[in-house]
Amino acid sequence: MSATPAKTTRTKLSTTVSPETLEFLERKVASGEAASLAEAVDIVIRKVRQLENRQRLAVATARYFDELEPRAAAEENAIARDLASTASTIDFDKEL
Amino acid sequence: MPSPATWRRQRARLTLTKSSEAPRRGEIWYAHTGGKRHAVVIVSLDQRNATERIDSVLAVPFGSYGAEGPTSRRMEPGKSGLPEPSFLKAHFISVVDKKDLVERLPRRFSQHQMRELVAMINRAIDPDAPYRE
Repeated sequence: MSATPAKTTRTKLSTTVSPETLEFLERKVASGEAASLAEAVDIVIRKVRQLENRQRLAVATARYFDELEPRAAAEENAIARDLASTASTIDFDKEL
Repeated sequence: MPSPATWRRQRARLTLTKSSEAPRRGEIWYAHTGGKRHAVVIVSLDQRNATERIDSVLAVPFGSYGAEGPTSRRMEPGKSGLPEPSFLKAHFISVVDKKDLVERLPRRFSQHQMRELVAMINRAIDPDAPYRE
């Protein structure tokens, strides 16, 4: 299965890039990681989007816990304790 | 290929509880956990929820306090059926013993709400789970 969308769904993009960028993309093709310069661009962009998403989720998760007001944090810890105490009574070896 | 006798044994093990009694995915229940009553949403698949061979379900609890976040959603009484505004906390997805589910509430999550909840659970465990603020 191809890592890039079918040609019919692709959009033409004409642009210029720096020599370093072109060299980087050509190395992707030479190494076999990408079949073409266009696919190399797609691979790089996909990685950047993944990293941006990961960063966005990490920051939002940290903010959620850092900014949780004291009574909410206390309740969260109590919920965790209560649910853990219930789970501790379950014999997982008996559950299939 | 299992023998017919093996098939019969396997089928016999998959005896289901009465569907009206078994917790169902998307239902909201009160559960007695740790000596306290917590509202939870059942998230495990109904094949697990209904079988008598497994004593537990997977559930996500509500809290009374909190904030919106990647794994937390504020829900109004009209949406949850709970008496007060509450916060669904997917980062506390837990195993809950079926016998600790003590009261089924009338409200049930829609398929859309369940998809959102699964996305929230994914954000609690997968650093690459899709997230837009």
